[in-house]
Amino acid sequence: MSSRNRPVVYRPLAQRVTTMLWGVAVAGFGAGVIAHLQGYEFDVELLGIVVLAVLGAWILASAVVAIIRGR
Amino acid sequence: MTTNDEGQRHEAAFFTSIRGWGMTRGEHGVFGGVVEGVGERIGLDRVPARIIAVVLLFLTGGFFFALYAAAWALLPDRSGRIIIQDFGRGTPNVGALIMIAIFATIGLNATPWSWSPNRDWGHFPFGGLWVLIPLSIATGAVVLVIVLATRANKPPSARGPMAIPPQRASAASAPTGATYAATPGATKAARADASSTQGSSTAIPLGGGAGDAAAPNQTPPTPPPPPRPRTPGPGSAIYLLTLSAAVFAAAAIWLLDREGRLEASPVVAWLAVAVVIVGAAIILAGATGRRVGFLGFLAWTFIIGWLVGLTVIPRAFNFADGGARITIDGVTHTIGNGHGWFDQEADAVSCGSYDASVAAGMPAGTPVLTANPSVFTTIAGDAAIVQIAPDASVTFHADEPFTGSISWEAQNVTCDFDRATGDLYSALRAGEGVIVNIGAEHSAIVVKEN
Repeated sequence: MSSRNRPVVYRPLAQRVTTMLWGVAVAGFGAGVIAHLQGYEFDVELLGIVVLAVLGAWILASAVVAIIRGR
Repeated sequence: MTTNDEGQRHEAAFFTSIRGWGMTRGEHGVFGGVVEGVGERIGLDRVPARIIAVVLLFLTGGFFFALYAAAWALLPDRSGRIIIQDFGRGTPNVGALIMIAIFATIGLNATPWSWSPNRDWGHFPFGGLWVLIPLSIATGAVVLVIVLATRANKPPSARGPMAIPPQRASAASAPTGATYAATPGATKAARADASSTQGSSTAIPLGGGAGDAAAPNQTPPTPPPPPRPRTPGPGSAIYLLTLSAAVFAAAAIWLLDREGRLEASPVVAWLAVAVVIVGAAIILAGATGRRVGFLGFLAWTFIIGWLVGLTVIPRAFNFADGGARITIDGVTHTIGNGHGWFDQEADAVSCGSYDASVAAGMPAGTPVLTANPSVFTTIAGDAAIVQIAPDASVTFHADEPFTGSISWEAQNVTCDFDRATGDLYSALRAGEGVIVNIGAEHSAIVVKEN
């Protein structure tokens, strides 16, 4: 059976939000590159700290969601 | 855990081809099980495979990490899941992706071509040709794995006395079951079976063939499972919107460049804007409940490309009219027109129109100096002259080691501080002056008021 004949299911809200966050991250990266080309100097260490903190928050949020769903 | 139906999911031929290698990541690995899986495929136990991996790590100068990251991302595990494919499907293994990114970064930083401006190539035999050694070792290792894996695919009679025992190969392929055949031999057998029996998905043992087709104990055909629902990709509308935005961006950037209002090269500027456009398209796909599909691949291509361009490959791009770079207190600033270069070590200077004047006698586009902080003066005013007065032993980095002061006496580089940006701009405008740490091991750079 070709994939076109299979029923279509759109993603649930949680996955949509995740995808949109991924898009925001990509767009933010692009904006950072543009700023860099314009001469803006980034504090790479601070950037790394922020990225790690955001990543931690994301994983924490995922854990909380998983706990709530498990109840 | 995958099912037969998942095994039959539509996927890019690229991933199907990888599965056809019959190489799966092991289950006991410390970092993704790559070494275990590859070793098992070519007939090595875990321990010797790991020892060889560590030896390769040292022989390739860390480049092994890049190969490892690629294998981790692309090889399926025992249940058939490929990290990078799952990421594209929106079910990412975040932990593995982070580790792969770290490995890739370490590996790419260790590539033989990611030389630093301070590296003295004269210490190596044959000049820069030494980089071929770790590359050759890495290539040789990959070729050896391919040869051994191909050899393991052949039937026992076609192999030599060092062949892998059939029971071992069967054991290696057993966990994958019929979902993702663990060996190309099994894949081919399954394909042959599918063409002859109209779609049976029964697992074919390794080495099976015509004899199996004639086996008397055939199970009755089972009804096909109901079709799994699919999540659509971005679709033509989002793809066309993305393309349209990219074309509009190209037009706008061309216009800005035509009017001289663009700091960077038009192509570079467009590549930066394209990342934002792809990000916006991914947001749109997510908002409408679709998979990111090809947009995910595009995004990673852009991100990795930019990260490599900005951090790993020093002086990879020549930003014509993008502003030259000067290092002040360890921070590289864009200070004017001309040709700017990425400075990996943040210690080199390329300032102003050296193509025409400073680099007389040297190839156009030659990075200017290898530098240690040695000169300090204060810049005041909107314009200054940077005078470079090296002595006889200054070392320049060109395509080949270049030593001497030829044609460098009394060369001035004019830096247009009118277009200074960032901290330098702030300091200049505040009238505070800036401490400039520029210099070469045996040269002096003097920054004067114009």
